[in-house]
Amino acid sequence: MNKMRKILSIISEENTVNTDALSKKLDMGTSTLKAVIDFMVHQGYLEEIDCGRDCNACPVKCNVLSSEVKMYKLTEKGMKYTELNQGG
Amino acid sequence: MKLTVDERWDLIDKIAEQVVKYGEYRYRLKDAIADITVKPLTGIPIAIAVLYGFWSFFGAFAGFFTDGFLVKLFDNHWLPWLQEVFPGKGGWLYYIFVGDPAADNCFEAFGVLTSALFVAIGVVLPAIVAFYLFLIILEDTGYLPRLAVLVDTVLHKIGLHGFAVIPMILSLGCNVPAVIATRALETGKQRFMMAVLLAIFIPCGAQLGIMFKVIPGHVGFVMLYLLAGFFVFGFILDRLLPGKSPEILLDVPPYQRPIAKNVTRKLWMRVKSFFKVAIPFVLLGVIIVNLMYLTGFLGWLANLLEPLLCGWFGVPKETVGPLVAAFLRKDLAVAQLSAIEMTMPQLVTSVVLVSLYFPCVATFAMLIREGREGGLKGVSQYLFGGLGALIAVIFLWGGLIRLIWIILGVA
Repeated sequence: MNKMRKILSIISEENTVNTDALSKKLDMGTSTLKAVIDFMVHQGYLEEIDCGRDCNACPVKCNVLSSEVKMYKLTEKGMKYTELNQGG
Repeated sequence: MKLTVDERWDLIDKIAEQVVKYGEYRYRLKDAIADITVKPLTGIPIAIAVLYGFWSFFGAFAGFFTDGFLVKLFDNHWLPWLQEVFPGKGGWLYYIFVGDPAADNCFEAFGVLTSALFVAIGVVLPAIVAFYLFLIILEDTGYLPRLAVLVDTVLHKIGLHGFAVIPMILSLGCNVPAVIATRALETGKQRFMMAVLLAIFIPCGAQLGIMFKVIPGHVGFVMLYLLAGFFVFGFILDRLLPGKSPEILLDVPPYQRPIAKNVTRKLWMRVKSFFKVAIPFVLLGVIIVNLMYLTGFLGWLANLLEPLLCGWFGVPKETVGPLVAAFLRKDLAVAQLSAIEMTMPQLVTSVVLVSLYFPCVATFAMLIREGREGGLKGVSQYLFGGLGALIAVIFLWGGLIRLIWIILGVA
């Protein structure tokens, strides 16, 4: 199974997975993993979750948090691909 | 030749294997620290220690400024001076602005310039500063996302995921930004559940600050009782509402040292927002409650609700005044409860009721605004769904605490 398939499978199997644990599981550097994630977002297999609102009008100010957290979810395309893979 | 998706990915993998060199995973000290904070065996004791530190710092910091400095300033200097210079002693204007002419402390005077100012600046402000200072340090070190990973399994039991802990913690500062923070949850079901649960069960920092003053020995019990309610009703809502919680990938930032400039900037932003949101409502709350008292409306309402308040919840009918004020500010309402003669179990029940009772007006407005994102259906869901959950919670969870007192033989 290639790295990208493994990533999608792990996300679909576990409730919430963090990049640290994932990079360890795949024996892959975190920066490499992040590059793979960016690629999968670009290809539409993963989608970054954000509130999509105007940050200036929001009192949460998560945009000024120095420790910004990024969250991704599997898209329909990602889910379908994982199911196909599991089926095969 | 047309390749299937699988064949394309296999081809990509083969090419990648030849041309891409994956960086090998190197385990460093930073990773070890990150690991022990997310693994349940070590992470849970660390989380308990952090929360205990949070609690202790909150109480010590707020207590130092409130009891050591601001109580003296307000009670020994501000109140006597105001009682002396404010004209028309005994008149209705005097009653609204200064309160009881015989009062010897600002907490019990119940005037706009006495109790309201003292509650907002003397008690709540130090509590808010302490809360946000600690929270910002936790945010900036990168601990909060790890806490999210740690509590993920527990929150999944009620249809949420670990990141929901962020609005929960924000809510302990103020429910308004916490409701906004629910936007980061992925499904409408999760956003609605979280917004309703935190508006009902999580007391804000201002209310916590006053609780430390009014029921210092029982704050832990009240918090545990509310947290238990959060999970019980969360579980029920998860079963009642359609939808599921999707699997997510969290990109957790590495641990880092907080930068003083960022900490002070964020602290100032949040304290400024407290001044804008809280102080006008505290002042307005005291004016409205005093006017309702002077016109006799509060007495009429107390008599009307007496069977419910005394019969079901076991609290005095006079708690109706603080319950009205709770709609404007919950911290003010808890402060008002301290002036009503009642037993300690009754006082604890009243504090729980004020927490569960209708969210403050700012949170309520924010809930409706969030609902507006889903159009008329969304507003209806937030308004009627939220109200339905609220009524059920008040009667069941508010009534249960009385049952506990009866079982313990203290009611």
